[in-house]
Amino acid sequence: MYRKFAITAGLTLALAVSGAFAADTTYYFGTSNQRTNIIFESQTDFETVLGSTNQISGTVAGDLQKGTGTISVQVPVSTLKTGIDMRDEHLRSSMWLDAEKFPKITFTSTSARRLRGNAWEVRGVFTLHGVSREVTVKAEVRPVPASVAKAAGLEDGDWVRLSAPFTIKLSDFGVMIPPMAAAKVNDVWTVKLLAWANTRG
Amino acid sequence: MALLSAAALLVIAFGIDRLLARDVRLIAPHDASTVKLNQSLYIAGDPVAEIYGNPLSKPVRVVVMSGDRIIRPAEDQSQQLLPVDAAKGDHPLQVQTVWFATRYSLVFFLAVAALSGIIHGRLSK
Repeated sequence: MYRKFAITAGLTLALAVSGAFAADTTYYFGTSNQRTNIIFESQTDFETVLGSTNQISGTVAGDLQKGTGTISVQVPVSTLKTGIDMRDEHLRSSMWLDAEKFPKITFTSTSARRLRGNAWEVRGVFTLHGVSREVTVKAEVRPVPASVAKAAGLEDGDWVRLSAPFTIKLSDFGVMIPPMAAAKVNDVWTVKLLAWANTRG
Repeated sequence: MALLSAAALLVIAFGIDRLLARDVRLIAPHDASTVKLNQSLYIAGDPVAEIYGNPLSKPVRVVVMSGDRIIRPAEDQSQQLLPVDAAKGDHPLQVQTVWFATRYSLVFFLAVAALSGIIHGRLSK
């Protein structure tokens, strides 16, 4: 009887340590603008455009040990900057992203699985200009050790750093480049999200 | 005159490209505290440019008047990173833009030169 008890206790302890009973943890984006850095890139013969924003909101919830999770984020179109005010105005206008009618760019995952280490594959719905398309993103989710977070003076809570590059075609989302701008703006944009999220919100 | 202008334009563009431009990786910069944080998390093999900012996918040749703004990462000194803060209106002149404008201008000047030649030839007769 003692042996049976010892085996059961040992198994329970092993499972607890392995985190098999760990619940999903929710991390919040956008708690600090300085911890968000999103760029979009357009390459043409005329110029390589570097646009950016540091505004994001949303959550990533998951069990990092199990390798499962969900993510939902939103970025305001009005915050996208390219370094030239007039170009930013055009970008927000109805001829381009139409910020007034479609104020947010969103991504909501439909599945997420860890590939190996901190590398994840995330599938989801990306919505831009009122049009939604399924995209697959290879992301890195790196937990920040508590000691590093403390030494860096980060706010309380558990932190993760997310890095996610992907490409989109504007025309897939109903954004047609005017003929006059065709030499200056590519239909294909490379987007890269570097953002930090924490459990405090 | 048009031919002279075309030649001058070529010289200027070439001069800008050879004397004032550098191949750099443009980055949307992180703030200083985030750079320190990234340095704490850095593991050999990680993309070095991402410690300092969010980088474009490949280097771009830009006009750089002062090398002070260029970051040479301690983690990889072969790289040259140029912070570009779009929110503050940063927009460095790219050499590809200079050559793009030069090509179109050359076409214009050569067309003017050809037209002048034709008109001059007809008037001479």
